[in-house]
Amino acid sequence: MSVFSTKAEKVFILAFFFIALGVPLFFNENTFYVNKISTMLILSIFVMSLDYLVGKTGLISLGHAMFYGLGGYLFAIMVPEYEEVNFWIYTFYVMAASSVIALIVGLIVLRTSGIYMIMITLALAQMTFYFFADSTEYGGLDGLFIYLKPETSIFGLNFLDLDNETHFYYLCLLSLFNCYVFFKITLQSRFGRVIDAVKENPERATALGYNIFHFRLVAYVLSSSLAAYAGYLFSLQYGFVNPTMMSWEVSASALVMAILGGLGTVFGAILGVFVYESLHYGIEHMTQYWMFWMGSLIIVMVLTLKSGIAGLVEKLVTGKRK
Amino acid sequence: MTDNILEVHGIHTLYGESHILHGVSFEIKKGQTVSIMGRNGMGKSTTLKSILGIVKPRSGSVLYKGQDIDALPTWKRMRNDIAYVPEGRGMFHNLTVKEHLQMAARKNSRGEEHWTYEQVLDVFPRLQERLTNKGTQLSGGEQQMLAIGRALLTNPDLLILDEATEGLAPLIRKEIWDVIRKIKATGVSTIIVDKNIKVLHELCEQHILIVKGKVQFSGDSQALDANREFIESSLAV
Repeated sequence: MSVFSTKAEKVFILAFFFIALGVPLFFNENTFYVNKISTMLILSIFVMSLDYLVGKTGLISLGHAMFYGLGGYLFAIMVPEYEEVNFWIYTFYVMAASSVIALIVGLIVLRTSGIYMIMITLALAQMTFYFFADSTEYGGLDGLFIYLKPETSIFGLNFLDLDNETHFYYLCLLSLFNCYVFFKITLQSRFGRVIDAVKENPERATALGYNIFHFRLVAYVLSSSLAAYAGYLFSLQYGFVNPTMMSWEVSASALVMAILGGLGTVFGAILGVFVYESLHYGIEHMTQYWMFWMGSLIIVMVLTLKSGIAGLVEKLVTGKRK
Repeated sequence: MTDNILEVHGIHTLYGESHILHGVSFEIKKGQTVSIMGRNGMGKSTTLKSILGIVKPRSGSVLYKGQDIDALPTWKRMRNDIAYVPEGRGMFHNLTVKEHLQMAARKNSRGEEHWTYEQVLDVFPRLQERLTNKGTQLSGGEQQMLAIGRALLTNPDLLILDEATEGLAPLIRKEIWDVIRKIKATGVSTIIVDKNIKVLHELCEQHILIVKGKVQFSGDSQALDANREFIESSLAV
């Protein structure tokens, strides 16, 4: 079985990763763009994890950025100051710790759904935001600095230097690829079928003998821990973590990107992030009223593209083949 | 261990303030095929939903395989090998026929597997041709077959069919009844909610008539014959 659900997805994913592999060669003089695109790759992981929750599981969270921020904070808190630690080991620590937190949070928030879940996830994320913003120990609104980037050796082999922008770019690209494949594999397993069924009709799935709470909880933990991984990468890229990473605006714009890209398509998250961020960047440099134009454009796109940009890609690909 | 797979003792079920079931009681023996008849709105589906815990009876109790299951959530009752084919069939529009069957398939609680994916497709050759279609792209009869196939793949001890032939063309109905006969031959206890007295008379060992939330008649096919006039008048609109 192929990991791709549609032909459009296959075409897009293959083209995207093929082009993405060459990006640093193209911009070899200009690390600004390589960094910019690295950030977009990280955001794609974050938005993809949100799409998994909202688009696939049908649970709407307005507090997903909490895990994004936590990913960074967990690393900054756990790592001994001025010590070079191993990237892979700390990736495991960050994801394990965020999974435990997601499990506890999930046990609370998944007792609700719909509008109530939006409220409770928002409330929890704001609580966490103010906890870090007001704490002197964790740097308040300034957050924490990461003085030394981790080293990445595996069994003594060291082939990645996180201080090198190009190396970091490829790490982000590989992470996004793994994340995409991982999500697709879970969705095409029996677990994924049940998740689909739970989203479509929870009562019916229960009547087939599935405890929908368990399935939602697993999806919530998977999604949250990958959001935390994205936040961890982000804080490594910029060398700091601060509470704005988990502000509700971050959750909301991630939701906009997921919807724009095509909710429930998984690969649409990449489209959503790249289109949104490119427009943002482009319009920002053209006019100081960029928010107005950006907002108008989003309204137009949401109204005209019923299933997001992914739907448009779908039309283009299948249209050409007729 | 009791001979009864299911015992319903005086259940009262309410939707808000409206009192639907007024002390419904009956027993079903292992391996039996039982019909539940009644006009629309008399409480047949509510009886089934009360057995499954989809709605919670205010009083009374349900014993399944001799165990009181009132405290169990719906999904756990189903895991104890009950399968339910709901009225309206309950297709998932985002899953294909194949995916429907894959997601439902599991061994029963004793680890036995009487029904496999292949066997279900053998019984329903029409589904074989429709494997990649979405559940809601099927005709009514095909949806019904898929709903039954999906239920069988959970390898149930008790199968509950709610209005399985409702709204289908006569030829398709016949096909569904043929399948139900095949299922009966495998020895699964079955509850059939329907209005077709003729077929039910032939197929079921026991019949239950529900009128206004009460059991008005309960007996075997002979008793059904003896009370035919009363039962038919209770079913007539």
